[in-house]
Order: sequence, then C-alpha cells, then structure tokens
Amino acid sequence: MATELAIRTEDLTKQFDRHIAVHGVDLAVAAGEVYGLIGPNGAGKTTLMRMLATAEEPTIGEIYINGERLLRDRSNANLKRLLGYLPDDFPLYDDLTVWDYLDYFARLYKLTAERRQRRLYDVLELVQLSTKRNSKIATLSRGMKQRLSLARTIIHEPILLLLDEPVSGLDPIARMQFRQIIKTLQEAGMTILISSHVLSDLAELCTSVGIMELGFLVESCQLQDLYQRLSRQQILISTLGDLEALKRELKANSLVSDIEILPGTNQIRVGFSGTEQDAADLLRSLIHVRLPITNFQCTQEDLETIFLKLGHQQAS
Amino acid sequence: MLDRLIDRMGDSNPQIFRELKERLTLRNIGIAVAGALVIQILVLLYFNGQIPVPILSDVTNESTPKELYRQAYSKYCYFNEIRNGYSPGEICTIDGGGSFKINWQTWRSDVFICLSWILPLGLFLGSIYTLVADLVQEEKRGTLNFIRLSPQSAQKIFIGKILGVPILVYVAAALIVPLHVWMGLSAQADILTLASWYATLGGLWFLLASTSILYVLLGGVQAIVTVIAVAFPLCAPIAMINAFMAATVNNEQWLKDNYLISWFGLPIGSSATYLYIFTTGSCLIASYGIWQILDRRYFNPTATVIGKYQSYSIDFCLQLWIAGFTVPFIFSANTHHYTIRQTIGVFGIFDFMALLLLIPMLLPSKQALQDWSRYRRDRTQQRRKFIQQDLVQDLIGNDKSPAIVTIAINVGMAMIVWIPVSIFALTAHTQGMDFNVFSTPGYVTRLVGGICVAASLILLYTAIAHLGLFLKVRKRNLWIFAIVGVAAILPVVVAYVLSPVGTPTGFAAVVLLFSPFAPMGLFQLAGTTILAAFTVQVAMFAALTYQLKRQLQISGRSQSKELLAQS
Repeated sequence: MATELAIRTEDLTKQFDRHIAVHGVDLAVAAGEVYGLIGPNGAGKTTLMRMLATAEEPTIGEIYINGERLLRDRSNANLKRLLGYLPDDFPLYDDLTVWDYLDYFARLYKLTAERRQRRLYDVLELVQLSTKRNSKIATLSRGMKQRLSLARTIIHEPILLLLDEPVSGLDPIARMQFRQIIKTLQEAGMTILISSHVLSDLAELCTSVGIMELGFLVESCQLQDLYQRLSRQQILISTLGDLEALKRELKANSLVSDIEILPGTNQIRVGFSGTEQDAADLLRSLIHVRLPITNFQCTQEDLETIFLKLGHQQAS
Repeated sequence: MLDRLIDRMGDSNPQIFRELKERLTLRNIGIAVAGALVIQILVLLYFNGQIPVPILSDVTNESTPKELYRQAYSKYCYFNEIRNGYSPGEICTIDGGGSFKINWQTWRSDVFICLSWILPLGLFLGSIYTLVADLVQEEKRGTLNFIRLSPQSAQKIFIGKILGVPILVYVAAALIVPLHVWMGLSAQADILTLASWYATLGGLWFLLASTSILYVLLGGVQAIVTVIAVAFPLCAPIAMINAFMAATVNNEQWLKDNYLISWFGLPIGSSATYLYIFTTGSCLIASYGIWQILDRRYFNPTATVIGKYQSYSIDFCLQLWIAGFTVPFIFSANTHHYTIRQTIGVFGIFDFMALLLLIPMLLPSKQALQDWSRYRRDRTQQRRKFIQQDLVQDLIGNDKSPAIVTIAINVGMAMIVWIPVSIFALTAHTQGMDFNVFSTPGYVTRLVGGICVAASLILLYTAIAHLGLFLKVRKRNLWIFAIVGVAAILPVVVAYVLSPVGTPTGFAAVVLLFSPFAPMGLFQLAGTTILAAFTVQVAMFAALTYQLKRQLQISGRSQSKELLAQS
C-alpha cells in the first residue's frame, strides 16, 4: 500500500514582481513525518510555508493537503481545520488572558464547548503554561509567548503542523522545551513541516529534509538516505610513531582518500568510503604492521556540512 | 453573569466573544451609561432653558404688551389674539397661575428632533471610529492574518466585529432610545413612522459599518481622520430622514406636494414611511454588495476590489436603481421639464462617477497582469480541465486579465438606460418650454453623441490606467490616479483658458469634449465636429489598447527570460 501523503505540491511557483520566491516546487511529505525545510534566508521557505498554510496564493501550481486540493479564492474551510500554522512572528492579543486567548481560537476552529474545555487543559499542560492560565499575555516571557503561540496552533488538533522558525530567538533551555513538545506532537501522529536555521535541532527531530536554494527545492529525501548518500566519513588517526610510515600504509588501502597530516600534531585525517566493518579492518591492518596507534576515531559530516555543500552545488 | 452572557454569545460567534471579553467590563459599561445620561440631561436642560418664564410675578393677560414684550415671545407659547396693535405670535398666553401656557407638543417635537440628530451622529461616528481603529490595529499587529487562517467565514468575523467592537457606543445609544421614543410619541409621531425611522437608522448604520471595514481592508488608516472626513457628508442622510420626520410630526405641507420624487411610481418624496422603506432597502442592497467585496478581499487581500462578474451584477443594480428615478419621466405627461433635466443631470453625473470608480475597483495589479500574460498559455495548455477559457472569456471573466472589456460591458449596460431616457424623457416634455437647447437642430443626435463621448472617455481613462501599471516608479497607484486626474482636468483648464468668459465655444468647446464636462460643449458645436471628436477618441483608445497589448507581451516575455537566466 502506498504511503498516504499529508502534503503534495505540483509545480508550485510564487512570483513577487521580478522575483521568483518559489520555483516549480514538487514536494511530497508522508503522513506522520517530521519534515525539515532548510535553506539560507531568502531561499523561499517562508513563502512555501505561507502557501501551504493558505496565507498566500500561488502564482501557478497546485497544493494537495491530505489528498484534497486547495482551491484559489475560496475559504477552504474544511482544509483549514486540518492545518496549524506557526509563523516566525507571532502577534498576540496582549490584553487577553492565556485562557481567553486559547478559548477564542478554539471557538474560531469550531470546537464544541465540552471538547474545548478539555482541549484547553490538555494543551496548556503540554506547553507547560497551566499555571499561567489567568495571566495576561502581556506579562509572559518570550519563551512563554512562543509556547502559547504553539498552543494556539495545535488547539484544534490539526493533522498537519507548519512551523516556521519556531525556535528563533529562544534561549537553550526554551529551545530544549520546544523540541520536547514537538517530539510529543510527533508521537501523537501529527505530520510536521518545520523550518529552522538551527540544523542540529532539525537533525534531532526530522525524519526527512528538504533543502531550498533560490526558490528551488534542490533536495528532498529521508534524512537517513541523505546521510548515506552525501555524508562523507572521515577517520582521525593519532600515532606515536612515524607519520610518513602511517601515511604509506593508509595509501595502500583503496577505501582511503584525501590523506592529510594535521600540521603541528601527530595526527592524520583521511576520507573513508567504507562501512564500519571496513574501518575495523583498516584499524586491524595498521596494528598488524606494528604502528603505535593511540587514537582511531570515525566521524561523519553533519547536516550543516551537507547543506552547505549541497545547497550551493545544486543551485549553481 | 456578564461572563456567562459573553460565553453564550461567543458560542454562536467567536469574534463577538473576543471583542466583548476585551471591552464589556463593568467600568466601561459604567462610563457608557454615564455618558448617555449626561447627554440626555444636557439636552433636557438646554430645552428647559428655552421655555419662557415671566419676569414679573404679577403679570396677567390684562398686562400691557410692553410689560410682556421682552420675555413673551417664544415658539413654545400659546399666543393671544391681536391686542393693542400687536400681532399674534408676539405675546404669550398667561394661565390662571400667572405663568405662560406652554405648547408642550412643540417643545417635545424639538427635543425629539434634537435627539434624532444626536442618536444617529453618535452611533455612526462612534461605530466608524471604533471599527476603523480596531481593524487598523489588527492589521498592523498582524493578528487579522491568524483569524483569516481559521475556517470561519468573513461574514462571521466581520459581523462579530460590527456587533462587538462598538459595543459601548451601542450601550450608550440604547440608553438614549427610550427618551427619544417617548418624545417622538408625545410629539404625535405615529408608531409606524417612528419604527421605519429606526429601520432606516439601522440600514444606514449597517451600510456605514460595512463600508468602514471595507475601507480598512483596502488600506485605509487613521480612524480620527476618517471620522473627521465623513462627519460632514454624514449629515446629509441624517438631515434628509429628520426633515421628513419633522415634516410628518409638524404636518408640513411640502411633504404632501413632494409627489414628484418617485421610484418606479412609488411616491417616496411624499411620505416619510415610503422614503424610509426605500432608503433602508437601498442601504441593505448596497451593504450586500459591500459584503461580497469583503468576502473576496478577506481571503485574498491582493485580489482586485471586485470581481468581473461581480461588477456586472453591481452595475445592473446601480442602473436599475437609477432607472427607477429616470425612466418614469418617459411616461409621465405632466412633469415639468426642468425637474426632468435636473434629475437626469444629477443622476447622469452620479452614474458617470460610479463608472469611473469601477476603474480602480477592477484594475488588476501589475503582477497579476504579468502572471496572466505569462502563464495563461501554460495554464490553458496544461490544465484544460480547469481552465477552458479562450481569450475573450478570459477578458470577460478572469480577474487577473485587463479590465477594459469589463468596463466596456458595464458602460454599455449604462448606455442601455441612458440613451432611451435621454431621448424620450427630455424630448417628450419640451413643447412650449422656453429653452433654446431643445430647439437646436439635431438635438437628439447630440444627446446620443454626448452619451457616446462620456462612454469613450471612461474607456480612455481605463486604458490610461492600465498603461500606468507599467510605469517604473514608486507609489504606482498614486501616479496612475494623478495621470488619469490630469487627463480629465487638463482639457477643462485649456478650454477655459481659450474661452475664459461664459460657456466655451469653438475650439475651446472641442477641447471640452475630451473632459468629463463634455456635455457643456455639445450644444456649442456642429454634429460633424462632435462626430469627429468622438472618432479621435475612439482612435486614441484603439492606440492605447494596442500599446497595452504590446506592453504585456514584451514585459511577460522578456521578464520570463530574465528570471530564468537569474535562476
């Protein structure tokens, strides 16, 4: 059975005057995934999100949410109930209390009185604002306001969550809390499309990623596939013996490339294209020729390095 | 209790919930109640001060007029017969207790009319101010965008706004109503007239509130400036409904004689109730049109103000409304030709202005035009299932395409009303009238020529506005407005420079044909000259349209290449 797609776009394009912000994007996000959208400022992430959230009309192209097409110049009321959108700025009504604010949005999303009450308690607990329910929004800290915005976004239990830079401007503890909430939402079965410049967060949260550059979606795949295809493995080797001898031995191995002696140290860094077993065999062969190895460390290029490499390569 | 009430109302409309939660506090209600009471007390105190009181304690009906004269005259008195050479109306009647006998009905009538001004003015200005201020703030803060993303309809959100935002104004207004009704009934206003007055008030209020919301959605700002700008024009409808109310209460003769103002035979000028019903109906229909626009702009703020198909129905209603006043002249044998000329003139100018207003309302953005030009072929080739329009259908119905054809259709609809009305109404009642114009040879041809000239002018301005979209300047819309304004005004200036005294004649009159004041030049020129001017206008329009077509093709094609090269 084919995986159900929560989001599908066809040739999605948005043009502002002489600038094409999003260019022919064909996006497919499976239900239940956490999809990270990465790219430099101006890559078109926010515009793409806004189009998916029905806040912006595409110039051309189509959007399907849960298999249903978004219609132009229509209210799309049924589809809007499936969506939760948290933009990068989150204006609030400072003069309302936390409870009244969420109550208002729950009503906007047509939750019945009984469900509304239950949902408000649940959401406030999830975002850890239960104790602030009667506080005026104006008195909340930035982190709390951001969590309140997230609470507003999920109050109607959407099946698709669009989070645009949700952790920008948050301190490390608030970021960690936010990550935890997103993980809880993922476990609850929501499909989440999230954009962020904090790639370590995305690496931790996402199951798939898309890389945007100059309005193009240059890569879109499972995170694991991306690592396997594009993340280069490196091995850092330290020795007490002769570095040249070590270099000669390494050259003999066909899986090793780019041998580099790190100046001022007794370390060599090499590129390695083998599996973990191949790396173990390499270590065994070095020890076998009696080289005094003191450190043998395998590392992998992270998401940030892949993004820097891939985004610019493909776009150019 | 208040919270429970708000909660209940919020179940049916979430926007009311939010607005009332913020505003309906005991403190605010107290202020509104106090305000309403103070206003009523001040009005009563003022009118109480107008009641005449004898200065001398021992005056009687036998006192000499000189003793009474200074303080005796008041419109609230009952007057004595002529005595000692003084006319009636100068000396008040004294009752047995030595006080003046007061005509309380007149006094209550005046209090009633005064409140009939305060109530609508306060309600209208208060509603407009609070609504505009609130929506401008929502737009600035960006909170309206979140509401837009909810599944609620535009109607629900804006009804919530209209009912909730000015709630304190409504509280204050509601507290004035009992005194107003009491004074009205005491002043012999019948219940039906009073009820229809309130219905008219409701209709006008709803129209104004809807217009206020539309104003903000179209980019309007600064509530206080808006209120100052509309305060004076608002007095016109209030004055009209109050004049009819006063005439009904005071049984004035002009109301009975005012049978000439009719709408498809309904004598709206001779009965306050008819006028109120007509005004309320007109307001509600106009409000319906505005709500169609609100619905459209709410979900797509970058769309044109009205859709092309919407423009046809709006124009149809407008022409029908105008026809109601003008068409009956064709069949009414005993109408004075001056009344016909005046009515047709007023509605002609009104219709011309309304059709001009269609230009900015239908003018697409430059981006929309380029998108339409660039992607139309792709769309029609790739997605035949969804879009199967050929070019003509696109020009008639696609809101992103140029609006020239749509404006032409709307102008055509107007001409269907105006040509027969002008010909038959104005020529049917000219016999025996001492009016030179009607004896001018080719009178009918000139009338039709005038209408054609007006129509081609509107199309010319439309083409100019479209070409203005391709100007490479900041504040493009302002420039377009200025250019069209200059195109309309410049010929008038030139005509009056050439012929500064009296009605322009000769070449000055020809120049005038290229301005909205064209009818003034019509009767100074020969038919062939008018035809020549009209031909020149048509040629200019054709040239501008051709230029627009070229501009669209070039701009779309070159930008596509450029953008692809950039990418």
